Amino acid sequence: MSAAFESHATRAASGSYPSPALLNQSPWPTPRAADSDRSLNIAPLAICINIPLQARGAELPPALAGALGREIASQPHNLRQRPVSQLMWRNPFNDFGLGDLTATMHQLGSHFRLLPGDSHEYCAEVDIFQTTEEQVALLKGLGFNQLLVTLPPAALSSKLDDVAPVLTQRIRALRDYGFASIGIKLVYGFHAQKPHQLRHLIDTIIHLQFERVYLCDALEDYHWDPLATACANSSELQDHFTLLFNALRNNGYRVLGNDCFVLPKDQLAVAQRHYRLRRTLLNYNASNAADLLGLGPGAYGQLGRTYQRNEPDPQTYCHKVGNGESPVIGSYSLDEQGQLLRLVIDQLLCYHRLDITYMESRYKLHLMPLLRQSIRRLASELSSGSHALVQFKDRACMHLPPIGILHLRAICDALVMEGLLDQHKTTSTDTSERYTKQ
Amino acid sequence: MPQLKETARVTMDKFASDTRCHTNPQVSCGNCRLNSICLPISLHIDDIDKLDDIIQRSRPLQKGDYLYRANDEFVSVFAVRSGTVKAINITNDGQEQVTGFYLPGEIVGMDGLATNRHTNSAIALETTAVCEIPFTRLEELSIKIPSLQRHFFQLMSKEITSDQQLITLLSKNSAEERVAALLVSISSRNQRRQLSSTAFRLPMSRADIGNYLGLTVETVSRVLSRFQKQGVLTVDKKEIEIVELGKLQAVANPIGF
Repeated sequence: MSAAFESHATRAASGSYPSPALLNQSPWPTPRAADSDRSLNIAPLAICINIPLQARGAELPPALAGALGREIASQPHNLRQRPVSQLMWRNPFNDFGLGDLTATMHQLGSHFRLLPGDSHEYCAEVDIFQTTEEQVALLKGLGFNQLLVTLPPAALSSKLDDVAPVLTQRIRALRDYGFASIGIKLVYGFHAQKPHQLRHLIDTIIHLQFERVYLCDALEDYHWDPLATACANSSELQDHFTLLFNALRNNGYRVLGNDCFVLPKDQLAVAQRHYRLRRTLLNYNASNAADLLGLGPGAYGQLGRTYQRNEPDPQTYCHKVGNGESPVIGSYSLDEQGQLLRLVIDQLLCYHRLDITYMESRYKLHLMPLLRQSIRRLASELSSGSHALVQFKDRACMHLPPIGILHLRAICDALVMEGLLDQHKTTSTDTSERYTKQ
Repeated sequence: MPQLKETARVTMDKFASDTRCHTNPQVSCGNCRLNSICLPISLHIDDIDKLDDIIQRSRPLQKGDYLYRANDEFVSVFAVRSGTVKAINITNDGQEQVTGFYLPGEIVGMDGLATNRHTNSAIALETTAVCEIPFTRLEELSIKIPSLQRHFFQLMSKEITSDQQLITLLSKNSAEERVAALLVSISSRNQRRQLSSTAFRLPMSRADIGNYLGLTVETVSRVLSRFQKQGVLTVDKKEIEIVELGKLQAVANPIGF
């Protein structure tokens, strides 16, 4: 584990972390019904509509809008009655016209409880270089109150110097539309990115006062793009991440996980301060959404303890939905240990602290041995003292100092690995003896 | 004799032209001159008759007549055939706020779609003819003709977009930018209707323009005079001639995308 582990010691820890496959160490088996199909549930729901980016310019099937509409209409009634407090539409204009977008939102509103006003977090992820003013106006008119802008891989890798002026002009124009929050997804780790260019770009981002900045690993987010094959080596990757992490923290941004930065006035920062931050596979939210419904090709869902994934190929997706089949190609339910690990990791990602006494009494766990063992193992891998990564306060609470937050991904990985190793060691005896007080 | 024949031909042409005219209440969608920008644009020639079957054409509205009032039940959308309609909203303090102007070929009344009640009132600014399209029947027809549904949502997206752009215009831009944006909008809408994009008659009063743009009547007049002095346009009461369309567009969208 050590070489790979060392190379990933300072990496982004949000997004799809931890993957169910990692928690359960197993490939996803065949689809099965999600938990929330079973009982009445009126808790807020997050929805992610995914239009694949890799299909840009490569002919998305013309039937995609129709197929998406059919997938929306085919959702079970118990999901439809839940208020949709968070909506993320990835790349809405990638092959969708203004009319298609309006029709799909109309369909979504006809089948789900979309919330009015600003009581929701409805966000569209758009390429700032491609999006037109009409598209932005339509998004606002359709009820999106947040924007997440992305920069094309070409601009992020070889033409980084050209980005700042265009970004500045466009963000100023976007501000006129009165979005509650404008975020930027900053992909780092392209080989062509030079530290001074990244510093210049992050200075621009800080100057423009983006409410949210998400750092994303080029290899994870743009693995389909030829430019991403020219990714930085692991040492450069760490340097880029550390540079961005420090620049944002030193300029007043609050950090969630270790890769999501928010201005102190942003609702996510407020939710973090008030201990009401939630996260799903999608990202963080302040609207109490713990379940995620994924729609569209390649979308991930997380309903209760069940994860599911849609068919990623747009053609096959359309074919399946057109034939009245489910587009879900795999689903997985976390076992008890996986759920507990997810709880612990969610706490660390959201608050950088773990109330050990509360977690142990609430969930009948012996957490301390797992934590100590994981941190000790990680510290030896990183050749640093475990006290530097985490701080324990009276055996009741664990805090992450800045260096610990920087290494949050590694800490979470270590917890997962230690939990799995321990599970493996004790399968012949009684796992519950060690982790749950019966 | 040849002269008589010529006169007859001219008369016949004129008659043919008149029967095609969108101002004629009897003209069908298939023959309407506005069908290239109105709902039929999306339809195959065979389907235009199906749309025509559900459309109701009544006598023209006179200036000041209401097409519908705020809080009326949402039953139909309306295609403006001739004349101009303004949409108004009554603010919390009882003031009238103009929220849009609808020119021939444009669809008005979609504000009721979300709640089944109209949120605005629509008033004729001059003698105006409309085609009434019952929404339930339009929905039924859309299921049979998907291209109609697509086009309807395109129109709706345009409506939503222009609403948002107006809000942005009012919240940020200067008086010059606001007036320029309205003139550029009318110019491009005229162009779509194959009318002159640079010489037209403003169908609305200065007071309505001021109300729509959040400016006083005096400011609207001052801005128009300033544009005239700068040689961007000429104004003669309601008649406008845009001399420098490029300049006007640049004023309308100073820091756009």
